[in-house]
Amino acid sequence: MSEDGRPPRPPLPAASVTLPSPVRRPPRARCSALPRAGRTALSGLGARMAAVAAVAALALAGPARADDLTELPLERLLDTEVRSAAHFARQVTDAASAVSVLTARDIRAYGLRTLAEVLDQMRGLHVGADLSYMFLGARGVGGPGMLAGRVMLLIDGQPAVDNLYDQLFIGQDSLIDPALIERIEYAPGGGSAMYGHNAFLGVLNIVTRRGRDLNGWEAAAAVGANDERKWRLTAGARLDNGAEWLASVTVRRDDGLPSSEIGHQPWPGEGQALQWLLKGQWQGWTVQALGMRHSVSTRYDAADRDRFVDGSSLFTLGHDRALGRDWRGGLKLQGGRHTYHYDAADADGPYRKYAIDGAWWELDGQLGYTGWTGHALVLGARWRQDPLLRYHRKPTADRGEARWDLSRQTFSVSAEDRWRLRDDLHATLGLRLAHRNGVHWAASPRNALVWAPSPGWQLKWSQGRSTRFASVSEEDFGDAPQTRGEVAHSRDLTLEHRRDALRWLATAYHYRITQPLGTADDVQQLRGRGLELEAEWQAAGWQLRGSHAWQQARDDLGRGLPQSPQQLTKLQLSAPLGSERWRLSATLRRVGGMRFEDGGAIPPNTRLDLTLLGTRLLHGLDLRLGLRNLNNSRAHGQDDSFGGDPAWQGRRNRHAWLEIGGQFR
Amino acid sequence: MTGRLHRGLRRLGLALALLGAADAWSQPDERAVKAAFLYNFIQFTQWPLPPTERFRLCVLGQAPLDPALARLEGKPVLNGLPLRVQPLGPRDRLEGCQALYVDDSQRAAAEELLPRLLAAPILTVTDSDGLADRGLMIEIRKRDLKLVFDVNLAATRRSGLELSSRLLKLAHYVGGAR
Repeated sequence: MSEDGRPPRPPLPAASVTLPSPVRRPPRARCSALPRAGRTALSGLGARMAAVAAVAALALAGPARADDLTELPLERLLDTEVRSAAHFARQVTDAASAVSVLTARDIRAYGLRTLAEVLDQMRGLHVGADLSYMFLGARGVGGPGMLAGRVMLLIDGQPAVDNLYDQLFIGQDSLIDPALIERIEYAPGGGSAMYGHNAFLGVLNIVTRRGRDLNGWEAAAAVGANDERKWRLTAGARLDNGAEWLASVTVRRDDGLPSSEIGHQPWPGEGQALQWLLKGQWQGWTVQALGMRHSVSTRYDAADRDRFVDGSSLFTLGHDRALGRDWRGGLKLQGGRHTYHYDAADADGPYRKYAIDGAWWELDGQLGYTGWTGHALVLGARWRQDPLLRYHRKPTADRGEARWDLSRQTFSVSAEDRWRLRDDLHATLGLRLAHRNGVHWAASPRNALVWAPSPGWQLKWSQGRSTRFASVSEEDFGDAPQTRGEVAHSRDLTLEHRRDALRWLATAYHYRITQPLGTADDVQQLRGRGLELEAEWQAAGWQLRGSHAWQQARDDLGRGLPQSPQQLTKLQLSAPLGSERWRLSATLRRVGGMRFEDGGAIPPNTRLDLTLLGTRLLHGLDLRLGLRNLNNSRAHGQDDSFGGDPAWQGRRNRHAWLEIGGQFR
Repeated sequence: MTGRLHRGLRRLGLALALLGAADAWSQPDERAVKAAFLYNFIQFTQWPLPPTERFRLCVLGQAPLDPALARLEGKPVLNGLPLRVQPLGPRDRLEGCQALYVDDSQRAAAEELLPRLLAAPILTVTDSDGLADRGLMIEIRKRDLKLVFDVNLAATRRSGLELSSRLLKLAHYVGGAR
């Protein structure tokens, strides 16, 4: 404890801790992700690369063609390379909202290499960064500094948010390498009553690849800007008895920034990341373990340096089986462990040392019943223990040791009925009740109607209430206990249409967050409203997808939220270069103007990215070349991290990376 | 910045123009190949009670594959029987169908249909991920640049259908063999 008996706020694992004062920063010239010579070479590279690729594609393409493919024997058909047909990804997330889906194919084609890059392509999501972490904004809420996420992240059904800061790790510190993602879905809004209490403004549902998707092993190596070196090795198989397994490890080194999107690390530094995944399944049994460790060391001058380490690991053991004709049951034991360690030293030796650790486990049971005609009933119960929530300030020359230990228990029950009122009309009625020690019971009802007036058309209406309990960091590790969670009341209306090669949707929403956590003391309520549009067209291997979100989030005093853009526009185009062996993809993202916490303006930003993908080239190797921020726009989102030093503000950050990999059996 | 963006867009336009020219050399469409797979699967299957007048291929709901499947209409299968393509609703009677195609877009309707398909002498083929694990017989999926197929042998045996050894040999994976 400090002299006044109160523990200080824990050190945030954000830029406020890792950045020294501006006077320590060595004067350096304006930075760019590529030296000038590199920029010149790069400026013509997009067109030249496309020309080379097209010529190469002409040389490589030469598929067997027949007017009537049924005349070909099956052996020949199996050996025929096909042009991808229009295929709109099917939603698997249980939510009556406008779900946004990206598949492994999209992730590969658009060259998305961190979870943040994947999320930044999804409608209505906004990714921000400081110099230590990346932050996810949804519906105008969330951005640099807001560690406690309001979007739930599930990896194969397992909650993947840490239990210290409720933080989503989406940068180089992601829990999962996007190369292992089979599909990712974002369901804005409260999702379903069956999800946990942190499904607040949205649910992200990641499904990872299975052993059958490899049946062998896969290796990839990449080099890129920010001193990046990356290696991945993945193996997996499906056995004759139906059992499947997959194992993967990714190792990465870079300059320590959470993303190459924001330019170089301003000071000499090194980041190291390790991601690993093990999974298996057999006859209704599933076992999965995954984790990451990310460390960043920074040297501000000869003696002044610091280092922080984030680590997370998760495990699941589950069993799912039919219990007679109409019943189905599932039980999962899940858990996780999270650490944040920080050390800083100067010429006089260590002056800050912290170790913050958390652990949790839970039992999650669900029972489904389909024996009642027209109804699909699901009952759930979840019992969670957080036995370790520890803040430990280690002794240094000028400060004594301090330590706070907490534990938590949470219990929740849920029920949901999917009721077919007519062939074209479905209703979902759901309720979740949750209780945490020291916090009042929280009821989270969610109801929805889905009407399909004619083939291809769907109208969805959902409304409900979601509750988010405070993270242990928001409670200052016990010094500022919260007896209530923050509550979001939301309404969504969505119109969707799918027909042949075209899909489009429009959604309008409104929400109100009462008793908001992590805001200024005078704020009692946040309100948000928005309109989102999305359209996708696919034909002959081409894919064109565009979305625009207009969003407005304000507090009850009429102030807009910081780092909350009102306009988000995203455009993605992917096309085969003659054959599917070569594919060129482009993404365009425009983020509207925002403001910093102190009122400073962040101008609008537009970025154009290109990715060239070559599949099964020489010796079966794949090649990916990523050209990022081709228009070399400035990154202004971190300007306040540099105080008033104009040399570091609005850095241009055009950059490139190259990856070579392959599958081997 | 606008100038740079325009230059970037011009380069992208040039690349796409090149790529459009190259597209004339494109590969066969995935849907046409899937329909050809389906036609082959029928040829390699024996039914406990083979049809005598026509062979009926039922298709659940409306599927993106419909135009490709329509081109199979009238083609001879088995011992020269004409193939008839027939749409099917999730609660329609299954009698009369010798084969059923379940498209991924019809996954929700398929869930309703699955219990009725158990032990029915109908060759069930899908391109929906994981439905062969749930009791359908053949699942087509894309692997890299080509199509492959998995077989649920337990499901075919339960229904009394026999798949030729040549078909099983060409399958990417055969489950339920033991």
